[in-house]
Amino acid sequence: MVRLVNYTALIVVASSLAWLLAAVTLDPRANYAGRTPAPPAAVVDAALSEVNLNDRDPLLDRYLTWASGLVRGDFGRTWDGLSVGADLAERAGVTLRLVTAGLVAGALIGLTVGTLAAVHHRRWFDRLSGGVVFLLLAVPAVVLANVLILGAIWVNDTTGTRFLMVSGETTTGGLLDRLGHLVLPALTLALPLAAVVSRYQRNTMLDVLNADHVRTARAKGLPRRTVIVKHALRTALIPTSAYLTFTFGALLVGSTVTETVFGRHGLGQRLIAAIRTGDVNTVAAITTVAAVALLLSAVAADVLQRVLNPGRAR
Amino acid sequence: MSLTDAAFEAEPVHVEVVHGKGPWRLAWERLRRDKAAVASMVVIVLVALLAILAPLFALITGHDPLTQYPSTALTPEGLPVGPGADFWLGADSLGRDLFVRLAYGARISLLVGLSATVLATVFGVVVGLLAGFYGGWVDGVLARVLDVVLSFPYLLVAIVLVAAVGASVPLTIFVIAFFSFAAMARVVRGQTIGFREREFTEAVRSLGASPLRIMVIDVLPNLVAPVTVLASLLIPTSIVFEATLSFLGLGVDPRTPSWGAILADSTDFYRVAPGLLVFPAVLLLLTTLAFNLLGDGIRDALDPRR
Repeated sequence: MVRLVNYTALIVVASSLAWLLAAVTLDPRANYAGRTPAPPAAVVDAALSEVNLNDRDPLLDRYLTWASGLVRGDFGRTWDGLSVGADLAERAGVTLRLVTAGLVAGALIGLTVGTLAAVHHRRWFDRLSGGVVFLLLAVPAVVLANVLILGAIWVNDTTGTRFLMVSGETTTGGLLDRLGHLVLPALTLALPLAAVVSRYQRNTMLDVLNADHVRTARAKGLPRRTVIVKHALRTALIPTSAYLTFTFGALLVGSTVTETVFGRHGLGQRLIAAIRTGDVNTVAAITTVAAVALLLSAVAADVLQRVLNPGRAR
Repeated sequence: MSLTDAAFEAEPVHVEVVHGKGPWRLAWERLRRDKAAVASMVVIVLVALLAILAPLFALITGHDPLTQYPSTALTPEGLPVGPGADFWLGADSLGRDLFVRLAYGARISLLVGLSATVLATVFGVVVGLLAGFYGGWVDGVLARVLDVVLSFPYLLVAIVLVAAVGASVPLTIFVIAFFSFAAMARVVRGQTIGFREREFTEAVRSLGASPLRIMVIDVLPNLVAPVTVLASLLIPTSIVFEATLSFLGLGVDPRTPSWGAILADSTDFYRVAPGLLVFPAVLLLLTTLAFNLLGDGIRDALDPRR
């Protein structure tokens, strides 16, 4: 309970700071600067005040308007009068699909590789995967995304197909087409995640394989495969799944680069566009959503760890 | 000649004086045996040379990093020329020399990576020491501040800040340092809490040492190992952070040649000129890999259990 209060306070502080930072530094007035004929200053002032973006209104008043709206679940408006909430709801879907795909793919690859590496401890597979993991951990997302694009072009050219697409979410709207657009950005998120997860899984699995209950199971005469899957893997999954839950929030933030490279109109890309147009409310809303996601996933990871802990099952 | 005389006239025994090797000497010797760490150091020295000698390369090739050479760098069709004697790694889409730009980009990367790390380390150690040593309300306040910084979606905030204030090298350094110091402070705080209760701090405290003296003279030297390891891993993170910001067009001034900006320039041309993408990507990868491997090597070398 104390934690929940703490977390709520953290979110309030983080979102307020984000709004203040954006309100003090961004310049929505610039949107009207390039117009010919130049609109009268009074008209611009009125238009900006209407959406709570006028930098000539007192900062405290603007903050209170924004904060009271936020408490009622209203994120405010963009400079051209659109509802931030409705805009973001659409964008969030795009980001959520990408992050979910990346998380699932990363988890599956990481868990498989990590488990296999632990079972074949110090043999060629373990060494090879260790090297690849280290390389992946050092690759910046910017580089990885571009390398994947080069690879995809090569695959498309050699096979003569056009399945893997490097930009946007869809061209024809078909399911297969959407999938083709999703593969590369999802892999960009999934590969570094898989690298961390596989290391994590390998280490827990190594610990578990030496644990008493696994040795007992082997001594009972159960087949090796059954022991590994049913006794060892099940126990080793607990810390890894807690880690994966925790990662979800971080992935949401990390998808900014991926969305930009692959031209997907998600939250991250919207943020950069919002900065360019001086949309204080959008910037604050996206930062708030990200902070909430980060903390929620931290809480979920905590809860999961406690619920799954076999020591508590008795 | 009696027995006592013989004993008396015996050659004085030469005692071999054994000099204990200091912990740093031991660590250095372990590091030198680590092949991956040595290879990383070689790569880092090469990148540093590339950065330091950038004006020399500009002089040899006769190409300025910012000037466009449309007559020699672009084919009649307007495509950039490939690697050759004139343009060592080819030209970019605007007819600038890719190699010279990459060399100047190395300056930005190393400058940002190193200064952000130094700044974050100093700030993180001070905050961590104070919070861990004093405890109580000081710790309460500082720990909450760290929580806020760590729970902030830092990439987003960095993007907002840099975009708003205007991209520049000092600002980029400051932003990276600000969002990296919390991790350092956390580690230092945890270690300091451990040392605060140990016998040797009790002893100097009972001798009347001031809190400042205990922190700086008695606790700080014990933190050198974890801080060194964390700092060496902060360098590649900062370099990647800068490249990411510049790639998004929000890092250093877009005209300044930075690896991230060069990568961003290449995105429309990699089909006709893959070198534009491959060379900066490889350089960035090699540098971060080298710093990561070196950091791991330092960790292993400083670990007394090995």
